[in-house]
Amino acid sequence: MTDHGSATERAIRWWTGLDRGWQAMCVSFVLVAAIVGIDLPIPW
Amino acid sequence: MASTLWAGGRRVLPGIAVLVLVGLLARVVTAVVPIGSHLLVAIGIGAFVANVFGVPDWATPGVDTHGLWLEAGIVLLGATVAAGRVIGAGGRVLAIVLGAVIATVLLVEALSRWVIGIDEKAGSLLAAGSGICGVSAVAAVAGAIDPDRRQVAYATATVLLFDAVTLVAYPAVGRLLGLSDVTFGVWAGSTMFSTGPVTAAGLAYSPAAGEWAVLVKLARNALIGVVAVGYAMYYAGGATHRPHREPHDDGAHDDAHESRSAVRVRIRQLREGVPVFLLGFLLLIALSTIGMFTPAQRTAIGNTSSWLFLVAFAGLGMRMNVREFREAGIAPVVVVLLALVVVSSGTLAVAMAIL
Repeated sequence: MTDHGSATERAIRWWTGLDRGWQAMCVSFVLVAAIVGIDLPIPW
Repeated sequence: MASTLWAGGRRVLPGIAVLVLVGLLARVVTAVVPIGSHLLVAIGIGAFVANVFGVPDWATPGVDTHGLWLEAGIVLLGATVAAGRVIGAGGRVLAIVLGAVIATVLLVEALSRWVIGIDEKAGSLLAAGSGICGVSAVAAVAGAIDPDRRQVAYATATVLLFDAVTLVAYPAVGRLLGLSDVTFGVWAGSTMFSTGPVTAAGLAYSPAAGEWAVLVKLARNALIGVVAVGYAMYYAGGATHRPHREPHDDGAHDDAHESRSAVRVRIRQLREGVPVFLLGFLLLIALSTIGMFTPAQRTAIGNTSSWLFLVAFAGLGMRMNVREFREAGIAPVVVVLLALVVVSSGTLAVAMAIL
Protein backbone atom coordinates (compact mmCIF):
# COMPACT_ATOMS: atom_id res chain seq x y z
CA MET A 1 0.00 0.00 0.00
CA THR A 2 1.37 3.45 -0.85
CA ASP A 3 0.70 6.73 0.95
CA HIS A 4 -1.40 7.97 -1.97
CA GLY A 5 -3.36 4.82 -2.66
CA SER A 6 -6.83 4.42 -4.03
CA ALA A 7 -9.95 5.54 -2.19
CA THR A 8 -10.47 1.96 -0.96
CA GLU A 9 -6.93 1.80 0.41
CA ARG A 10 -7.33 5.15 2.15
CA ALA A 11 -10.67 4.04 3.58
CA ILE A 12 -9.13 0.80 4.90
CA ARG A 13 -6.23 2.73 6.46
CA TRP A 14 -8.68 5.17 8.05
CA TRP A 15 -10.81 2.30 9.40
CA THR A 16 -7.89 0.32 10.86
CA GLY A 17 -6.55 3.52 12.43
CA LEU A 18 -9.77 4.03 14.41
CA ASP A 19 -10.04 2.61 17.91
CA ARG A 20 -12.83 0.17 18.70
CA GLY A 21 -15.19 2.75 20.23
CA TRP A 22 -15.15 4.85 17.05
CA GLN A 23 -15.54 1.75 14.89
CA ALA A 24 -18.60 0.78 16.96
CA MET A 25 -20.01 4.28 16.43
CA CYS A 26 -19.50 4.01 12.65
CA VAL A 27 -21.12 0.55 12.47
CA SER A 28 -24.11 1.70 14.51
CA PHE A 29 -24.69 4.90 12.59
CA VAL A 30 -24.47 3.11 9.24
CA LEU A 31 -27.10 0.67 10.51
CA VAL A 32 -29.32 3.47 11.83
CA ALA A 33 -28.98 5.35 8.53
CA ALA A 34 -30.01 2.21 6.62
CA ILE A 35 -32.98 1.56 8.91
CA VAL A 36 -34.18 5.17 8.78
CA GLY A 37 -33.13 6.05 5.22
CA ILE A 38 -34.57 3.07 3.36
CA ASP A 39 -36.97 1.87 6.06
CA LEU A 40 -35.03 -1.35 6.39
CA PRO A 41 -37.10 -3.66 8.58
CA ILE A 42 -34.98 -5.84 10.87
CA PRO A 43 -36.96 -8.75 12.30
CA TRP A 44 -36.06 -10.65 15.46
CA MET B 1 -7.07 -2.22 -3.61
CA ALA B 2 -9.78 -4.86 -3.93
CA SER B 3 -7.20 -7.45 -2.92
CA THR B 4 -6.47 -5.53 0.32
CA LEU B 5 -10.17 -5.40 1.09
CA TRP B 6 -10.52 -9.09 0.29
CA ALA B 7 -7.50 -9.99 2.45
CA GLY B 8 -8.91 -8.01 5.40
CA GLY B 9 -12.33 -9.61 4.97
CA ARG B 10 -10.86 -13.10 4.61
CA ARG B 11 -9.07 -12.62 7.92
CA VAL B 12 -12.16 -11.78 9.99
CA LEU B 13 -15.14 -13.23 8.12
CA PRO B 14 -14.64 -16.93 9.06
CA GLY B 15 -14.59 -16.09 12.79
CA ILE B 16 -17.60 -13.78 12.45
CA ALA B 17 -19.44 -16.61 10.65
CA VAL B 18 -18.63 -18.88 13.62
CA LEU B 19 -20.07 -16.28 16.01
CA VAL B 20 -23.26 -16.00 13.93
CA LEU B 21 -23.61 -19.80 13.86
CA VAL B 22 -23.15 -20.09 17.64
CA GLY B 23 -25.69 -17.28 18.15
CA LEU B 24 -28.24 -18.92 15.82
CA LEU B 25 -27.70 -22.27 17.53
CA ALA B 26 -28.46 -20.62 20.88
CA ARG B 27 -31.72 -19.22 19.48
CA VAL B 28 -32.72 -22.62 18.07
CA VAL B 29 -31.84 -24.42 21.34
CA THR B 30 -33.82 -21.97 23.50
CA ALA B 31 -36.78 -22.09 21.08
CA VAL B 32 -36.91 -25.89 21.35
CA VAL B 33 -35.92 -26.29 25.01
CA PRO B 34 -36.87 -23.30 27.21
CA ILE B 35 -33.77 -23.45 29.42
CA GLY B 36 -33.35 -19.71 29.82
CA SER B 37 -32.12 -16.63 28.00
CA HIS B 38 -30.72 -17.23 24.51
CA LEU B 39 -27.96 -14.71 25.36
CA LEU B 40 -26.68 -16.76 28.28
CA VAL B 41 -27.03 -19.93 26.21
CA ALA B 42 -24.96 -18.28 23.43
CA ILE B 43 -22.23 -17.52 25.98
CA GLY B 44 -22.48 -21.09 27.33
CA ILE B 45 -22.25 -22.71 23.88
CA GLY B 46 -19.34 -20.40 22.97
CA ALA B 47 -17.48 -21.26 26.19
CA PHE B 48 -18.17 -24.98 25.70
CA VAL B 49 -16.90 -24.96 22.11
CA ALA B 50 -13.79 -22.95 22.99
CA ASN B 51 -12.83 -24.96 26.05
CA VAL B 52 -13.59 -28.42 24.66
CA PHE B 53 -12.50 -28.04 21.03
CA GLY B 54 -10.51 -24.78 21.14
CA VAL B 55 -10.76 -21.78 18.82
CA PRO B 56 -8.90 -22.55 15.56
CA ASP B 57 -6.37 -19.99 14.33
CA TRP B 58 -8.44 -19.21 11.21
CA ALA B 59 -11.37 -18.13 13.41
CA THR B 60 -9.45 -16.14 16.03
CA PRO B 61 -9.34 -12.69 14.30
CA GLY B 62 -13.10 -12.80 13.65
CA VAL B 63 -13.96 -14.07 17.15
CA ASP B 64 -11.88 -11.23 18.58
CA THR B 65 -14.23 -8.69 16.96
CA HIS B 66 -16.89 -9.51 19.60
CA GLY B 67 -16.12 -6.32 21.57
CA LEU B 68 -16.95 -4.22 18.50
CA TRP B 69 -20.40 -5.86 18.14
CA LEU B 70 -21.05 -5.41 21.87
CA GLU B 71 -20.28 -1.70 21.71
CA ALA B 72 -22.29 -1.20 18.51
CA GLY B 73 -25.20 -3.07 20.14
CA ILE B 74 -25.00 -0.78 23.16
CA VAL B 75 -25.03 2.36 20.97
CA LEU B 76 -28.17 1.10 19.18
CA LEU B 77 -29.81 0.17 22.48
CA GLY B 78 -29.85 3.93 23.16
CA ALA B 79 -32.75 4.29 20.68
CA THR B 80 -35.00 2.14 22.89
CA VAL B 81 -34.22 3.85 26.20
CA ALA B 82 -36.95 6.12 27.56
CA ALA B 83 -35.12 9.27 28.62
CA GLY B 84 -37.97 10.52 30.83
CA ARG B 85 -37.87 7.39 32.98
CA VAL B 86 -34.10 7.66 33.33
CA ILE B 87 -34.14 11.33 34.30
CA GLY B 88 -36.87 10.61 36.86
CA ALA B 89 -34.69 8.12 38.75
CA GLY B 90 -31.36 9.73 37.75
CA GLY B 91 -30.32 11.28 41.08
CA ARG B 92 -31.00 8.17 43.17
CA VAL B 93 -29.36 5.87 40.61
CA LEU B 94 -26.27 8.09 40.41
CA ALA B 95 -25.97 8.03 44.20
CA ILE B 96 -26.13 4.22 44.16
CA VAL B 97 -23.47 4.00 41.41
CA LEU B 98 -21.07 6.37 43.17
CA GLY B 99 -21.61 4.63 46.51
CA ALA B 100 -20.98 1.19 45.00
CA VAL B 101 -17.83 2.31 43.15
CA ILE B 102 -16.28 4.10 46.14
CA ALA B 103 -17.18 1.27 48.54
CA THR B 104 -15.75 -1.41 46.23
CA VAL B 105 -12.47 0.43 45.54
CA LEU B 106 -11.89 1.26 49.23
CA LEU B 107 -12.90 -2.20 50.47
CA VAL B 108 -10.71 -4.09 47.97
CA GLU B 109 -7.77 -1.78 48.76
CA ALA B 110 -8.28 -2.23 52.53
CA LEU B 111 -8.68 -6.01 52.33
CA SER B 112 -5.66 -6.35 50.00
CA ARG B 113 -3.32 -4.24 52.13
CA TRP B 114 -4.33 -4.95 55.71
CA VAL B 115 -6.28 -8.20 55.84
CA ILE B 116 -5.17 -10.63 53.14
CA GLY B 117 -1.78 -9.05 52.42
CA ILE B 118 -1.67 -8.76 48.63
CA ASP B 119 0.97 -6.71 46.85
CA GLU B 120 -0.05 -3.00 46.72
CA LYS B 121 -0.23 -2.64 42.92
CA ALA B 122 -2.01 -5.97 42.42
CA GLY B 123 -4.57 -4.79 45.02
CA SER B 124 -5.08 -1.53 43.11
CA LEU B 125 -5.64 -3.40 39.84
CA LEU B 126 -8.21 -5.61 41.56
CA ALA B 127 -9.90 -2.55 43.09
CA ALA B 128 -10.21 -0.83 39.70
CA GLY B 129 -11.32 -4.03 37.95
CA SER B 130 -14.05 -4.83 40.46
CA GLY B 131 -15.05 -1.20 41.17
CA ILE B 132 -15.22 0.24 37.65
CA CYS B 133 -15.29 -1.79 34.47
CA GLY B 134 -13.58 -5.14 34.76
CA VAL B 135 -10.76 -6.08 32.44
CA SER B 136 -10.68 -2.72 30.64
CA ALA B 137 -10.23 -0.95 34.01
CA VAL B 138 -7.39 -3.33 34.88
CA ALA B 139 -5.75 -2.39 31.57
CA ALA B 140 -6.33 1.35 32.06
CA VAL B 141 -4.94 1.42 35.60
CA ALA B 142 -2.04 -0.87 34.59
CA GLY B 143 -1.10 1.82 32.05
CA ALA B 144 -1.11 4.42 34.83
CA ILE B 145 0.78 2.58 37.61
CA ASP B 146 3.20 0.34 35.67
CA PRO B 147 2.78 -2.97 37.54
CA ASP B 148 4.63 -6.15 36.53
CA ARG B 149 3.01 -8.57 34.11
CA ARG B 150 2.32 -11.15 36.80
CA GLN B 151 0.21 -8.65 38.79
CA VAL B 152 -1.81 -7.77 35.68
CA ALA B 153 -2.36 -11.47 34.90
CA TYR B 154 -3.56 -12.11 38.49
CA ALA B 155 -6.03 -9.25 38.41
CA THR B 156 -7.31 -10.04 34.91
CA ALA B 157 -7.83 -13.73 35.70
CA THR B 158 -9.68 -12.85 38.93
CA VAL B 159 -11.98 -10.40 37.12
CA LEU B 160 -12.71 -12.93 34.35
CA LEU B 161 -13.54 -15.59 36.92
CA PHE B 162 -16.03 -13.31 38.67
CA ASP B 163 -17.47 -12.19 35.32
CA ALA B 164 -18.32 -15.83 34.57
CA VAL B 165 -19.75 -16.56 38.04
CA THR B 166 -21.82 -13.38 38.39
CA LEU B 167 -23.22 -13.78 34.87
CA VAL B 168 -25.08 -16.86 36.05
CA ALA B 169 -25.53 -15.96 39.74
CA TYR B 170 -27.07 -12.47 39.35
CA PRO B 171 -30.09 -13.41 37.18
CA ALA B 172 -30.67 -16.46 39.40
CA VAL B 173 -30.65 -14.36 42.61
CA GLY B 174 -32.77 -11.68 40.92
CA ARG B 175 -35.48 -14.23 40.02
CA LEU B 176 -35.28 -15.83 43.45
CA LEU B 177 -35.92 -12.46 45.11
CA GLY B 178 -38.44 -11.38 42.46
CA LEU B 179 -36.61 -8.09 41.83
CA SER B 180 -38.20 -5.44 39.62
CA ASP B 181 -36.53 -4.67 36.28
CA VAL B 182 -35.19 -1.34 37.54
CA THR B 183 -33.80 -2.76 40.77
CA PHE B 184 -32.14 -5.69 39.01
CA GLY B 185 -30.66 -3.50 36.25
CA VAL B 186 -29.27 -0.92 38.68
CA TRP B 187 -27.92 -3.63 41.00
CA ALA B 188 -26.19 -5.56 38.18
CA GLY B 189 -24.94 -2.39 36.48
CA SER B 190 -23.41 -0.97 39.63
CA THR B 191 -21.80 -4.11 41.12
CA MET B 192 -20.95 -6.66 38.39
CA PHE B 193 -17.57 -6.15 36.72
CA SER B 194 -17.10 -6.12 32.91
CA THR B 195 -19.52 -4.43 30.50
CA GLY B 196 -20.28 -7.55 28.40
CA PRO B 197 -21.44 -9.78 31.25
CA VAL B 198 -23.43 -6.88 32.80
CA THR B 199 -25.28 -6.36 29.49
CA ALA B 200 -25.88 -10.10 29.09
CA ALA B 201 -27.14 -10.57 32.66
CA GLY B 202 -29.42 -7.51 32.38
CA LEU B 203 -30.93 -8.53 29.04
CA ALA B 204 -31.25 -12.13 30.23
CA TYR B 205 -33.41 -10.83 33.09
CA SER B 206 -35.62 -8.64 30.85
CA PRO B 207 -35.19 -6.04 28.08
CA ALA B 208 -35.98 -3.19 30.52
CA ALA B 209 -33.51 -4.56 33.09
CA GLY B 210 -30.92 -4.73 30.29
CA GLU B 211 -31.42 -1.06 29.45
CA TRP B 212 -30.99 -0.05 33.09
CA ALA B 213 -27.96 -2.30 33.53
CA VAL B 214 -26.25 -0.81 30.45
CA LEU B 215 -27.12 2.75 31.43
CA VAL B 216 -25.77 2.33 34.95
CA LYS B 217 -22.70 0.42 33.77
CA LEU B 218 -21.80 3.15 31.28
CA ALA B 219 -22.12 5.80 33.99
CA ARG B 220 -19.72 3.69 36.05
CA ASN B 221 -17.32 3.17 33.11
CA ALA B 222 -17.12 6.93 32.67
CA LEU B 223 -15.35 7.10 36.05
CA ILE B 224 -12.35 5.09 34.84
CA GLY B 225 -10.45 8.19 33.72
CA VAL B 226 -10.73 9.75 37.19
CA VAL B 227 -9.70 6.52 38.93
CA ALA B 228 -6.73 5.90 36.58
CA VAL B 229 -5.48 9.46 37.12
CA GLY B 230 -5.97 9.10 40.89
CA TYR B 231 -3.89 5.92 40.95
CA ALA B 232 -1.23 7.45 38.67
CA MET B 233 -0.87 10.40 41.06
CA TYR B 234 -0.79 8.16 44.12
CA TYR B 235 1.92 5.86 42.77
CA ALA B 236 3.91 8.71 41.22
CA GLY B 237 3.82 10.47 44.62
CA GLY B 238 5.04 7.33 46.37
CA ALA B 239 7.86 6.89 43.88
CA THR B 240 9.41 10.36 44.14
CA HIS B 241 12.18 9.41 46.53
CA ARG B 242 14.83 10.60 44.13
CA PRO B 243 18.56 10.65 44.89
CA HIS B 244 19.84 13.87 46.50
CA ARG B 245 21.04 16.44 43.95
CA GLU B 246 23.76 19.02 44.37
CA PRO B 247 22.55 22.68 44.30
CA HIS B 248 24.30 23.41 41.00
CA ASP B 249 22.74 20.61 38.99
CA ASP B 250 19.66 21.31 36.82
CA GLY B 251 17.23 19.11 38.74
CA ALA B 252 14.72 21.97 39.11
CA HIS B 253 14.45 22.29 35.34
CA ASP B 254 14.04 18.49 34.98
CA ASP B 255 11.36 18.45 37.69
CA ALA B 256 9.38 21.25 36.01
CA HIS B 257 9.60 19.46 32.67
CA GLU B 258 8.56 16.14 34.25
CA SER B 259 5.61 17.67 36.06
CA ARG B 260 4.38 19.39 32.85
CA SER B 261 4.50 16.12 30.92
CA ALA B 262 2.86 14.29 33.87
CA VAL B 263 -0.03 16.77 33.75
CA ARG B 264 -0.35 16.23 29.98
CA VAL B 265 -0.39 12.46 30.47
CA ARG B 266 -3.09 12.74 33.18
CA ILE B 267 -5.31 14.96 31.04
CA ARG B 268 -4.94 12.45 28.20
CA GLN B 269 -5.83 9.59 30.57
CA LEU B 270 -8.95 11.47 31.69
CA ARG B 271 -10.02 12.09 28.09
CA GLU B 272 -9.28 8.56 26.91
CA GLY B 273 -10.99 7.14 29.98
CA VAL B 274 -14.45 8.10 28.71
CA PRO B 275 -15.54 5.32 26.35
CA VAL B 276 -16.41 6.76 22.92
CA PHE B 277 -19.41 4.49 22.39
CA LEU B 278 -20.98 6.05 25.50
CA LEU B 279 -21.33 9.25 23.44
CA GLY B 280 -23.05 7.31 20.65
CA PHE B 281 -25.41 5.71 23.15
CA LEU B 282 -26.31 9.14 24.60
CA LEU B 283 -26.77 10.59 21.10
CA LEU B 284 -29.25 7.85 20.15
CA ILE B 285 -31.17 8.39 23.41
CA ALA B 286 -31.38 12.09 22.48
CA LEU B 287 -32.44 11.42 18.86
CA SER B 288 -35.05 8.93 20.01
CA THR B 289 -36.37 11.32 22.67
CA ILE B 290 -36.88 14.17 20.19
CA GLY B 291 -38.91 11.81 17.99
CA MET B 292 -36.43 11.17 15.16
CA PHE B 293 -37.56 7.55 14.81
CA THR B 294 -40.99 6.08 14.08
CA PRO B 295 -42.10 3.21 16.36
CA ALA B 296 -41.34 0.73 13.53
CA GLN B 297 -37.83 2.17 13.10
CA ARG B 298 -37.23 2.05 16.84
CA THR B 299 -38.27 -1.60 16.84
CA ALA B 300 -35.91 -2.33 13.92
CA ILE B 301 -33.02 -0.56 15.69
CA GLY B 302 -33.77 -2.52 18.89
CA ASN B 303 -33.84 -5.78 16.92
CA THR B 304 -30.50 -4.91 15.26
CA SER B 305 -29.10 -4.29 18.72
CA SER B 306 -30.35 -7.75 19.82
CA TRP B 307 -28.64 -9.43 16.83
CA LEU B 308 -25.40 -7.61 17.55
CA PHE B 309 -25.56 -8.70 21.20
CA LEU B 310 -26.19 -12.30 20.18
CA VAL B 311 -23.04 -12.32 18.03
CA ALA B 312 -21.06 -10.43 20.68
CA PHE B 313 -22.01 -12.82 23.47
CA ALA B 314 -21.15 -15.88 21.39
CA GLY B 315 -17.67 -14.32 21.12
CA LEU B 316 -17.60 -13.44 24.82
CA GLY B 317 -18.18 -17.12 25.60
CA MET B 318 -15.57 -18.26 23.08
CA ARG B 319 -13.04 -16.04 24.84
CA MET B 320 -13.79 -17.50 28.32
CA ASN B 321 -10.83 -19.74 28.93
CA VAL B 322 -11.23 -21.93 32.00
CA ARG B 323 -7.45 -22.45 32.14
CA GLU B 324 -6.99 -18.68 32.64
CA PHE B 325 -9.15 -18.80 35.78
CA ARG B 326 -6.51 -21.00 37.43
CA GLU B 327 -4.06 -18.08 37.22
CA ALA B 328 -6.20 -16.10 39.62
CA GLY B 329 -4.77 -17.53 42.86
CA ILE B 330 -6.62 -17.89 46.15
CA ALA B 331 -5.77 -14.54 47.81
CA PRO B 332 -7.14 -12.19 45.08
CA VAL B 333 -10.26 -14.36 44.75
CA VAL B 334 -10.90 -14.14 48.52
CA VAL B 335 -10.41 -10.34 48.51
CA VAL B 336 -12.78 -9.78 45.58
CA LEU B 337 -15.33 -12.28 46.86
CA LEU B 338 -15.52 -10.60 50.28
CA ALA B 339 -15.81 -7.13 48.72
CA LEU B 340 -18.40 -8.30 46.21
CA VAL B 341 -20.59 -9.97 48.84
CA VAL B 342 -20.52 -6.88 51.09
CA VAL B 343 -20.97 -4.22 48.37
CA SER B 344 -23.40 -6.25 46.27
CA SER B 345 -25.73 -7.03 49.18
CA GLY B 346 -25.49 -3.46 50.50
CA THR B 347 -26.23 -2.00 47.06
CA LEU B 348 -29.14 -4.37 46.56
CA ALA B 349 -30.62 -3.41 49.93
CA VAL B 350 -30.33 0.31 49.09
CA ALA B 351 -31.73 -0.19 45.56
CA MET B 352 -34.71 -2.16 46.89
CA ALA B 353 -35.37 0.56 49.46
CA ILE B 354 -35.16 3.67 47.27
CA LEU B 355 -36.06 2.63 43.70
